[in-house]
Amino acid sequence: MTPRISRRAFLGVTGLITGAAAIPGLTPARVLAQSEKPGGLLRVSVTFGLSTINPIMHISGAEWMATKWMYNNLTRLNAKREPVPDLAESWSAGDGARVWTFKLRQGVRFHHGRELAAEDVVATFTTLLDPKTASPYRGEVGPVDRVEALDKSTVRFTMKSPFSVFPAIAAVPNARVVAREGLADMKALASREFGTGPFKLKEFVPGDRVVVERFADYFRKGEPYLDGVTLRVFPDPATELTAFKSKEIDLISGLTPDLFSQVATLAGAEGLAVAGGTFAAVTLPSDKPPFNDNRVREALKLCVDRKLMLAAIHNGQGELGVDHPVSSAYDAYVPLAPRSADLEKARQLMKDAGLANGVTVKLFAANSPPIRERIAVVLKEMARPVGFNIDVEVLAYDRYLAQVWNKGAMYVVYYATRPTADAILMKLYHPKEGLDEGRWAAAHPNAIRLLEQAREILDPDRRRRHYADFLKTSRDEGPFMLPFFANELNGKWAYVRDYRLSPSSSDMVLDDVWLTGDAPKKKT
Amino acid sequence: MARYALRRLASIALILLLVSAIVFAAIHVLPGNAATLILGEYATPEALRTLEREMGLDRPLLVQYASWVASVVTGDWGVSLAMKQPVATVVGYRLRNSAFLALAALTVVVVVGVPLGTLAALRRGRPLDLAIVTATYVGISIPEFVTGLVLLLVLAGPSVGWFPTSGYVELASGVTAWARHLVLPAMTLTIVLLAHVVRQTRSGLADVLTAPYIRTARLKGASARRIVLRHALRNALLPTITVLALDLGYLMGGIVVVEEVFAYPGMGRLIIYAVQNRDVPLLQMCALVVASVYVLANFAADLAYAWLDPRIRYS
Repeated sequence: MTPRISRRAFLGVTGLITGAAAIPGLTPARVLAQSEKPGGLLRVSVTFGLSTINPIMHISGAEWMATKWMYNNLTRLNAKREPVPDLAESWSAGDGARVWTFKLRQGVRFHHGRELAAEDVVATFTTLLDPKTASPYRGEVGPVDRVEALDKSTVRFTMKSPFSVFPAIAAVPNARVVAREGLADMKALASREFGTGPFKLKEFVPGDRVVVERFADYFRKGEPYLDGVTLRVFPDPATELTAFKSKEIDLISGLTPDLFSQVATLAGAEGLAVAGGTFAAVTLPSDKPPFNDNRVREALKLCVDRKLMLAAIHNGQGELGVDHPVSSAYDAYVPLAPRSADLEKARQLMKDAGLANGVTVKLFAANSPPIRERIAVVLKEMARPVGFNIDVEVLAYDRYLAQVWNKGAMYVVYYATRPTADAILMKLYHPKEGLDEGRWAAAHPNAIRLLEQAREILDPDRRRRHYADFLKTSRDEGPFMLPFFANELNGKWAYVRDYRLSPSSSDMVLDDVWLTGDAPKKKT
Repeated sequence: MARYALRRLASIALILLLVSAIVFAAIHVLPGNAATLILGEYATPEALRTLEREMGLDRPLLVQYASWVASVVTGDWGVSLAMKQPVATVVGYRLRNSAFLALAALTVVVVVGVPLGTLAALRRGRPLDLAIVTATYVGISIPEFVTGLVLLLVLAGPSVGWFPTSGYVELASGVTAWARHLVLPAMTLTIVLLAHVVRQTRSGLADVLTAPYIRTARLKGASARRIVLRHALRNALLPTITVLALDLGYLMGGIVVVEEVFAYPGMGRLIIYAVQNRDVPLLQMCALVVASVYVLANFAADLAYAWLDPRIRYS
């Protein structure tokens, strides 16, 4: 869309520029750019995963991005990962975080015209929590027992046990609020949308692209600035990079470190990096030899030169880890002393454990994403001098899921940033709320109890102290070797403005993103 | 002729049934099913069982296969397990895109390949022949992802930028834009396929040119152009038609690499998607469609034989 400039607007802008020239630090170009906000088409690329746009069922980052544009949650997370209003304008806890009451915004409209009501939120959560729906992230929503509409704009959630982080969890991709008529046909919801978001669906070709266009009645008045967004899948990264260089793509999401450095050095392009909570870690199955002996787990953790591993695998783009999954992106983060490699101590521990002659273990790694295989291969080399003979088997993701994952073997897990520390900790360690992937819970009931207690505490400082105790135990005795958190990496052209990369990169908010006048005017 | 055609069609139906049975058996040899892939690393045993029941994956394999055959026979292609969309819609869209690309590539292959092969045959052993044969050999020996990427970097890179790097736009958004998106993938496929046609035309024509009836034609004073175009080429081209029929099948489902490089939404990528997601109904229909293209193209080639060569009679 070419901006139409009326005489009045032109005079206004020129007046501003002349006036602004007198103000130090405010360049005319900046003032002009501010006036160009509305319009334009943003083209975003991903490398995989675009099967469905059903928010209740989707599991891939690309799908989460697309539904973020078409739907809203009750809350969203700000840059500090605190819940802030989205569809809910306020919320309060009762009965020691056992009851959560959300007050909805007035006058929010769905794309198909109807006004949002509390019943839609009730229907969404009821469907999401129904075991018959089999939503992949059902466990992450917390111990919700009942959802009721108190009136047209008030929703009450009653928990089975106190759940202090529920407002943050309400921002999880699978809890996007869907109009209740849309929930009636879950099959249709895979390719249609019933949302309130800044953009409405124009075209969806599974596995290839999603095209959305501006929703004029969006409740954040004046937003979005963009006329539309196209999300395209590029199976080949070389093509993706060329398309970006030729300005067929404005924003690359989910860059590998290699592509990141190429994008960052292009004139007029910017590489964006933000510390997140995404990690790959190795499970150390703690219910059977050799890893049922904590000395062996500790020995393996001591083999790893984390700084070197991060440099070799993610180009130094990340945050060093100490064998627990809570990075500085979470509010439960506690800085613990960093771990450095100590081969002498590791050898001694192996001797004490009766493994002076070494031990052979099998480590499985799925081939996607590539970071899994890299961690496995580097670990194999780093652990060899201490007597670990690691036999790495790389296998296709589909085979990994069916034959290795969650079967109590030693394998490389990979998780993206979650809304709260509670979500990832429960998933990894808890035997009922999660999957206890390291088979560690049975022998460490006290640690598990810490997790259960922490989620009940409303006071953030007290909660953090509980988590600190758990994280220390996890570092010293835990069933995971977690070397580092990988930064989220995006690339964009400088003409894309006000885009803020989220620590969970698929949380792509485009409400206030805009394009300057020198953005290409191409349609596709 | 009609009886021959009927017999062929009956055998085609049998072939398709066999293909579907083999594909069905093959995908079940692979571990996991659509439910494990839909739920990924967040699957709970309970959720897995629920989804398997909902998608009918908990039934015995023979029952699953029989019910699939029964619904396909009645024209119901089913619903994709991973996309939840009607298989007919998904496959129809991809099939049309693949057909556009295949048609574009095959047209160029014929228009360029047959004259090049003819030229090479007429100049056999001379530098021009050598140049043509070498060039097409280089084309077929370089892997298609290399050819594709080189074309992409050179012709779609920021410095030249004649064509879009990738993707597909609808005909409705303009014939030029639509055609521009076809150029690079079609060009890559042409480079890969040209050798088949050029070699076949060249050797076929070279053979025919030594035949007694060509000598007779030459002796009766026919012009060189008339001898080649009217007498020789018509006979020499018969095997070329078979080559083209096989190429068509390949283009309609086997060009995974080119579709990936150019992010082209065709059948090849859809088949990979269906396998990776254990999407049995989708994979079954893809396999049937590609197999149909192969057998029907070959059938058409055989009919074309009879039309081009009056000595061939099917009965």
